[in-house]
Amino acid sequence: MVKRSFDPEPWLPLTPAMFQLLVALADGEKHGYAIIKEVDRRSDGKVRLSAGTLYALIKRFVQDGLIVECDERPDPSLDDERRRYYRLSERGRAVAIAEAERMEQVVDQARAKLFTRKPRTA
Amino acid sequence: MDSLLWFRRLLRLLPADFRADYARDMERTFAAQHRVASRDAGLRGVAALWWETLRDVARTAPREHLDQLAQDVSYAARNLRSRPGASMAAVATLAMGIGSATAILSIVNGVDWRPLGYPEPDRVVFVHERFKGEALNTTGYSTFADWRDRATSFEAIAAVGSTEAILAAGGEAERVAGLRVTPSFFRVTGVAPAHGRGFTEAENRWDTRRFVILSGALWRRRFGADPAVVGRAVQLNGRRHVVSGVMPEGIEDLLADQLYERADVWLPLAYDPTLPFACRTCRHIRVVGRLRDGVSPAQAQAEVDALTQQLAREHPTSYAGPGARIGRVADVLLGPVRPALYLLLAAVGVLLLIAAVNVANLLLVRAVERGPEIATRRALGVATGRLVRQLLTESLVLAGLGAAFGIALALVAMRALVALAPASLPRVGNVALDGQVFAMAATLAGAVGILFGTLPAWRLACADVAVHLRGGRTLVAGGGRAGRLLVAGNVALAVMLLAVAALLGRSFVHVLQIDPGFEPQGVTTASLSLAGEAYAEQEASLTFYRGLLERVARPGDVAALTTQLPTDVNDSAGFHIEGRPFGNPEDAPMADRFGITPEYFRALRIPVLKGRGFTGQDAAGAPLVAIINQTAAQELFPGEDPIGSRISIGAPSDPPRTIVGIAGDVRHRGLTEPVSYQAYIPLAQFDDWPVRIVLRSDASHVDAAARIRAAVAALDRTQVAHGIRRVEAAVEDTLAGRRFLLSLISAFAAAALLLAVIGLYGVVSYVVAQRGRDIGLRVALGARTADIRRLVLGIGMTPVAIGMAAGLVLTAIATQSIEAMLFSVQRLDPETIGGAAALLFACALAACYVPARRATRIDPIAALRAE
Repeated sequence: MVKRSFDPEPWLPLTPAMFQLLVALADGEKHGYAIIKEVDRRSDGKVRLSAGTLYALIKRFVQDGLIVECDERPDPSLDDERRRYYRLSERGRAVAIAEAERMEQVVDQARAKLFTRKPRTA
Repeated sequence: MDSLLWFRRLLRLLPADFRADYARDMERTFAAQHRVASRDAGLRGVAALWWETLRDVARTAPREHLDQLAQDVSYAARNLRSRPGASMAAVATLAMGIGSATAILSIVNGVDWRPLGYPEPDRVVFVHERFKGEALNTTGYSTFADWRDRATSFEAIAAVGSTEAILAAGGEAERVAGLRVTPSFFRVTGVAPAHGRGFTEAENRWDTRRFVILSGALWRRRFGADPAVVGRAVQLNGRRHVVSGVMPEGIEDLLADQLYERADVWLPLAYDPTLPFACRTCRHIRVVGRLRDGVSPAQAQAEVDALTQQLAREHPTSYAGPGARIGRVADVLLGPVRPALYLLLAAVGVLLLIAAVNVANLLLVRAVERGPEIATRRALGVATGRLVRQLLTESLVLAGLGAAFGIALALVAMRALVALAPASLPRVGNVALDGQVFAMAATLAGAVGILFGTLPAWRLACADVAVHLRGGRTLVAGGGRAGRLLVAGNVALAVMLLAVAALLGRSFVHVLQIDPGFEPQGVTTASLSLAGEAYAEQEASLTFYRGLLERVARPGDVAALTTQLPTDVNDSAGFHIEGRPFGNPEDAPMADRFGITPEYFRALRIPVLKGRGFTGQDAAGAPLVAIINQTAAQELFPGEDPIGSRISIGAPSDPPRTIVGIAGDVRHRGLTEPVSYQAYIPLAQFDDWPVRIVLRSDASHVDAAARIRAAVAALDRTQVAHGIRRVEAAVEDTLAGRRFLLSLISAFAAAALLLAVIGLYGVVSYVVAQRGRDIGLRVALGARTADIRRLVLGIGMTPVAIGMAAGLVLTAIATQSIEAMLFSVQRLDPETIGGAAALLFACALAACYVPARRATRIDPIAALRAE
């Protein structure tokens, strides 16, 4: 069977909130509150997700297959409430990587232009 | 935790589907955030969290709702594409209904709803004098002056008359029409000159009145929009006038447009109370006023009413049945057309309702086919509310498409209606598909979409899932029943509309059969008002007119002059019989007064029934004579021969005239109005100008018109004949309003009949298709062709019969509002209404016959096997 290669381009560019959400799930399953805390920590408070934005993004990414819903279980570090966990799918990982590469390219181009001195003419 | 309760309430802003999937997780996340915020930063932290949360939900909720709407619209579009035939039929039906409604709405909006061009137009009123119980259009100057000086209800009150003149400026002469006004006129309308100023009281005197204000259109056309024209001199009727102002361009002046020809110029009224025409009973000026802030028309009327009665006590022989009536300018000028306008609006509303019901029937049929699809979705957990929302969105998409095509149709229809509209329809220039009409059309489309979509959506969304999944047909009987009920409703509405159209049509036929009392065919008329010092004396004018008559008539032609045409009467005077004085001369009857040349009766073929017509001997200085009409002879001289009696037309003190002839009645005031008293006086013995020429000729109207223009120019190049038209066209204009209304109502009735019959055909065909097995079984058990035909006809004609009965009740109610429009036919005329009902019955029978014949051809074996 030939596997069709997945093209992440249609999803780019991602908004900062979208990118941070995917990156937050890169190292394992998390529930909603854990994602919010991770994004807040990773971005030094610059990207703050609230419940409405978070779950709207989760809904969209689940529909598009970038993240996958997992089982519900309590988080021992919080309380006894059962929480739904999410994990990054292969597609989601590919999209996050593509976004990171895109941003890297943008930064490289900016550095090349901003930090290169032009020789003075006589 | 209270905060969590409030958070749950906040989540209700989000779509139900979204909440069903994520509300619990969001609550738990929020609860965790709340605990941490409270622990780390106390109240400040909680407040910051709430602020962020509120902003977040305010951003997210609209996006999610829009997202869901986009999904619903996409789903709706897919479903409509899957059944292109039914979708196009629905869109076409809606386009016809919404398009017609939008076209009529644009007319009603432009004519009636759009505010007049005056600031606070509800405060601008007519002040009418009551005379023998009737409100007159005009009053005497002295009465106006007394109202002005004594009434406190008005911020400003003004007198208005008409004028026409020859304007000469820059070497060119043209005829202009306009208003003569007192200086307060511009305070009444609230529209002041854009350049220069209005008139002062000093300029409103007979000896100092040579000032003129130009209209914006005339200023642009003749003076190149040069503001320096203010203060310049122009020639009006050969006399020097100073331009004191220029009115703003593009203003709507309903007073001028509706009451007079138009307003190119404004002149001071400059009334001279010492002149003969300034008598208190010489009622030839109109009075308009602007009510004081907070004063209602009723309050002003009470005051002026009491004032006028006081005037009657002070001048007992100058008033009869005195009083006053105050009416808003818009109500007085637009009131006569409102009944017809709103009848049209109601009729097109009925048509739209029928169209919506037809589409509802289409959707009901479609609902049966989609039963399994909807049942599956419900079984998979889609909420009923979501399903209803999706189905309603489909209806709204259909309505939106119908509205889009309908508005395109409306643009075309509106232009056609404006072109065909009668001249009596005011403010036609305002008719346009503007933002207001567009918004109304969009609202209508939304309302119609919800109306026709709700029933099918609800039935479909609430149907028994289990039955559908098993392949049951619970909606068959229900859909058929609901469909037939809707058919009955459509039939009822169609019967009502057909009956109204039939009554108006019969009424119109009766009006056409009325003899106007003269023959307008083959007669051309033109207006003349000789201007300039050369015609200050009557003899000079008479010489001109004699020359004109000699020049225009060819052998076989008949040419005459008259002070007013049969179709345009606005001069009437008291009819005083010598030896029969009234205690108050104002109690004498009024007669329409015509100054005519001897050939007048021949030109218009008005018979002289007794005595003689006028001759060349009835000239100035000869014994004064008059001719009266048959109704005046019978009612004012009952049982007597009026020939030889002496009468005064005007004031009782006017020199008496001998009646020398009786002419046939002419329906001057309208074909359906009672015949007035009419008095004819030789033009040479009459001193009221201007005149109109009437020319009966076998030549074409174009030729006759050219001859009139050439004759006037040959006699005096500075004079202009205007208003040249066929008298027949003037008579047709009096019928134009009825004809226009009847044409539109008939078109709507025909469309309603067509839609009702198509809907009936659709429902009966559907029921026959769904009941194929039943019919096959009946045939197998021995039913004959006639039995099957009777069965199907019964299915179709039962709702028709119910609808017709309901329609007759609706007709009885609806015709109350058109009773005043009918002529010589009762509003519940059984013959007319019965005819309309019979027409619908016959069409309905034909619509049922086709599926009935199809049913008789069902093969019972094939039908039974198909199940």
